Amino acid sequence: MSITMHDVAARAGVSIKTVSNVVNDYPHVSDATRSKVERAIAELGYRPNLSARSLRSGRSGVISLIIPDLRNAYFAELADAVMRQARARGLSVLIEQVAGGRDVELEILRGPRMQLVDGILYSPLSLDRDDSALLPDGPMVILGEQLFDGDRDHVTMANVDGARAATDHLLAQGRRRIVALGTDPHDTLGPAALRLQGYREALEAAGIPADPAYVSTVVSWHRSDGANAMREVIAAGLPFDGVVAFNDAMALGAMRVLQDAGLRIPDDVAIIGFDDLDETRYALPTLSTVDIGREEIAERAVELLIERIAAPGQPEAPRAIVSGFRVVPRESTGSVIAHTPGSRAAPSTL
Amino acid sequence: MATTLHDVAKLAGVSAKTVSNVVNDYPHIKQATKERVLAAIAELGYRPNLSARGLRSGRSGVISLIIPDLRNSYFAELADAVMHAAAQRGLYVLIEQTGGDREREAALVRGPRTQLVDGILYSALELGEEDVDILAEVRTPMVLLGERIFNAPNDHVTMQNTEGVRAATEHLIASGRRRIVAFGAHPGEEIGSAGLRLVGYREALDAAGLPYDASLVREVEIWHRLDGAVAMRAMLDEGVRFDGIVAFNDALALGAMRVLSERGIRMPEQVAIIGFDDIDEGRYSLPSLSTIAPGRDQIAETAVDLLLERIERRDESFPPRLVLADFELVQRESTALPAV
Repeated sequence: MSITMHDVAARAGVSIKTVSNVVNDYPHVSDATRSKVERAIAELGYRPNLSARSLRSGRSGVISLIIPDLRNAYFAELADAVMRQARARGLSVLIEQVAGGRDVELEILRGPRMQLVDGILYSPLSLDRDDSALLPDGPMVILGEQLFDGDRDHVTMANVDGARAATDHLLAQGRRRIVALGTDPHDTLGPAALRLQGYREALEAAGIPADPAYVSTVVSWHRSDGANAMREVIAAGLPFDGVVAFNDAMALGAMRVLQDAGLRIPDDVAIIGFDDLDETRYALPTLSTVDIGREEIAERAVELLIERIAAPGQPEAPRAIVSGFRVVPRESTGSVIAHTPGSRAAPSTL
Repeated sequence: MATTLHDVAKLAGVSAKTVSNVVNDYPHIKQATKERVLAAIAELGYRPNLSARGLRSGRSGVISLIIPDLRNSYFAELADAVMHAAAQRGLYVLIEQTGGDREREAALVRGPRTQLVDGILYSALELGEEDVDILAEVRTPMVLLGERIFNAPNDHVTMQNTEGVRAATEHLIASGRRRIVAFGAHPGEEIGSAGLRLVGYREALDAAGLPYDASLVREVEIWHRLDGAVAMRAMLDEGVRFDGIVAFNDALALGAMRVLSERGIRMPEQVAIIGFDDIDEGRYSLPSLSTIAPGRDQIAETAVDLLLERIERRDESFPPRLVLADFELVQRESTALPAV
C-alpha cells in the first residue's frame, strides 16, 4: 500500500495540514518542524504526487506570468518582484514570453497549457480591446491598461500622468523642442499611446504647438531601438534640446548615440526615461526617469489574483488599480545628484 | 459526460496522438491540422486536464530553472535563452529564484515540489562540492549550470571561466597594461566563478612574467553594479595605482566605470577595462565595454538538450557529462587604444 500524507503526519507527530504546508513549500513553517516532516517523508519514502494533489484540490500552486520578454530589463525586474511576492504567499511562477506577435500571444493565452496554472498575470503586447472575447476564462489579472472592456482586474502604472510629469520636468528646465521617443503607430491604446498623450498634454499646457516631426517611431522598446530612433532624429536635422524616451532602455541607447554625435547631455540635450531601471543609476550621465511603482504593481497584482483564485466565478466587479509614480531627477536633465549610490565623498565634477 | 481526447480526435478526424501533440503544444505539427484540432476542442468544449495527463504520462512538460536572481542581467538573459531553447523543444520553464540563499538552494531541490516538474536546470551560488550528497538524492533529472559544483552525479554545462579571464587579462597585457586589477575576487574561494576567474588572471600574469600584487586583487562580494561602484570608489580613495581592470562580470565593470568617469579618469587612455558576460548593456555604455562572451545561447541549448535526454532516458544509467561552452573576446572602446 502506498504511503499517504496521514502516515507522514503520524510519524512526524504533526497535523496533516502541517505536512501539506511543508510539501507545498509555504513560508512560515518553523525550521524544526520542516526538518521533522522532511525526515518522516524520507524515512517512509513518501512521494507526494502533485498531479494527484492538483486533481483533488483543483490547484497547482503555480501562477503564470505572461510578459513580452526578459531581455527587456523592465520585465526582468518586474518578474523578480512578482516572484518574490508570489513566493511570500506560497506560489511558484511560470513565466511565458510572448514577444513574437499576436499569434504567439493568442496561442499561449488560449493554449491548453494555461490549465496547468491556478491563475494568470498577463501583460498584453499585441492584443487589444477587440480581442476581449479571445481571452481564456479563469482567474486573470491584467498588468497594463484596461484594454479588455473592463471585465478583468487590472493593475497598471500612471502612463499618461507619468509621461506628462517627465515632459513637465524638461519644460521646467527651459527645454522647448522636445522629442518624444518610442511611439508605435500600431499601438492606439497601450503604453506607447498613453505616454504620447501625456507628452502632448504637457506641451499643450505649456502653450507649445505639437509638431509631429518631433515624435519618433520605433519597432520595439530595446536599447537598439532607442539608438536607431535617435540616429534618425539627428540625421533629419531637426533642432532639439530635450528627449522624453518612453522607457529607460531606449533612453540609454539614445544617450549613447547623442554622445557619439558630440552632443553634450544635459547641456545640449536633456533626456529623461521611464521605468527607473537599476542601470539608470550607473549610466554616464545618470539617467533621469519616472519611477512607476514596480514593487507596488507586483504586490497588488498577486494579491488580486489570489483573491480571484480563492473565489472563482464570483461576480465581483473588476478592479482597477493604478500605482503611484514619481519623477527621479538625475544628471541627464541637469539635476545636481552627481554621484552614484554608495558614494561617501562629495562628487567631483564631470 | 465529460468530453475526452478521443471525442476530439474523432471530430477532427485525426488520431488521439495528434490531439495529444496539439494539446501538449509540440512543434512540427502542420498548421492546418492544428487548427482542425483546436476547432474541435472549441466545439466540444474539451478541457484537457493537464494534471490528469501528468498522472498518466508521468510528465508535466515543465522544467524548472533555479537561479540566483533575475535582477542580475546575466541571469535574465540566460533565462531568456533557456526559455527559447525549451519552447523549441515543447517545454515550459518554471523559474525559481534563490537569492543566493544557501538554505533555499538546498530546499528547492530537496523539496517534494521537485516532483511538479520533469527536470531541473540548477545554478547554485552557495552550495558547493561538500553538498554533492544533496544532489545525489534528487530523483528528478537535473543538469547543473555554473561553477559551484563539479564531480556531481549530474550532467553539467558551464563556461570557460579560467580560460576566458586569462584571455581578457592577456588582452590588457598585449595593449601594454602592467598594473592590472582583478576586480570581484573572493579570496580563499577555490571553486566558484570568482575562484576560477582569479586563476585565469594569475595564469596570464605568470605567462607574461608580471608579478602578482595582492593589492591589485580586489574583493567584491556581490556582483551587482552598486558593489562595483562602491569598491572602485574605495580603491581610488586608498590611492591604489593601476592602468587596467579585469572585472569578473560586466555589472561590476559598469559600476566601476561610472565611478572612474566621475573622478575624471579617462577610459581607455588612463585605465583600460574589460568585463565578462557580454550583457546587452555593455554595447551602449560610455565607453562601450569590452567583454568575454561566455556562450550563453550554447549553454542554454546544450543544457536543455542534455536535460531532455535525461528525462527521456530516465530508466537508463549513463555517466555524467561535462560541457564547456565556447567563449569569445569582444573588443570594444573600453580597451580600444594601444598603450601610450
